[in-house]
Amino acid sequence: MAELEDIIIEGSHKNFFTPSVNFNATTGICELSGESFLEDTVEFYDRLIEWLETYTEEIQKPIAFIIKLTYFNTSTSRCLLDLLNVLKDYEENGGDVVVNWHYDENDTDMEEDIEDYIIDTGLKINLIAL
Amino acid sequence: MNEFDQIKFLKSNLLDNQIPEYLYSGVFDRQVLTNFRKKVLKITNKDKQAQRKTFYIFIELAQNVSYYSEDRDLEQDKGKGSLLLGETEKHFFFSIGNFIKNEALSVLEKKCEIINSLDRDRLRELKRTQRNLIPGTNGGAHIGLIMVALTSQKKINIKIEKINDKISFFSIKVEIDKTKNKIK
Repeated sequence: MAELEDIIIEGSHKNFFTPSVNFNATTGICELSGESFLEDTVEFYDRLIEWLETYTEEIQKPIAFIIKLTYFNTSTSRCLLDLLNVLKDYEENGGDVVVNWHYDENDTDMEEDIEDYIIDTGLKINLIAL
Repeated sequence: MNEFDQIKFLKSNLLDNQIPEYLYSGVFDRQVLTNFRKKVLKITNKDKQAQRKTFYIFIELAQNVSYYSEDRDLEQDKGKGSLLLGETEKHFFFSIGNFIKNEALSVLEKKCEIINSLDRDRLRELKRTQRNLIPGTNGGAHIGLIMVALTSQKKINIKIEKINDKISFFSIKVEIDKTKNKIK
């Protein structure tokens, strides 16, 4: 089995906003932060989804998924749902999953959206107000 | 299409006290989105909560023009449209529009009608349902207009002008109340 490589992407803020990504195959700590408004949203997130699927199928260790996105557009929101559904499937198959979502306490829209993801996926997402 | 005065049409949906500070008509490419994004951030700079909402809605609607406008820059494959942006004492506003096929119009009108008929809880339910559907072209999540209504906390304000048998001009005006940095 080929070793799963970490994904490390530095966020950027040029014409589009690329989030920062740090998915660590050794520690199982996966962080997604910054802002997400991309030209090729599906292509960007498909890579992250594929990585998560490989981790949950082959490594099968605990995952701590940490989201610190301050902004994401609607295309990203669909991709986030797909990411969270991979985690939910893993949890249902016995995997150890923790999801922490950090958000600005004054951002009531984000708080509501996180609650909607909880309803949608059935995952326990810890809301951490900053 | 070239004879239709888009800016005049967008202005016709503004209130007397809504004087646009920025106007644009043309292709919605990366550079234009970046330039207008900066204008949105500048005009809303003193009100961070309203800034976040205005920015979010602007990006969604501007991307819609870029992806779906019938009037296109063929070389870049980006849509063309028009945009006004400004503020009054009580809110930030922008009006954005583009040409669409008449056959797409009734679906769009129906969508807006449904969105405007729902309270917040039902709108969130609709968002969740729609977001679970297979993504559209460009990775669209089918929830752009729903998010506009939820984020602005107002009904969607649309105005349509039929141009000919094939196309119409569709516009949407959004107002975001100033919050004066209220803390929850």
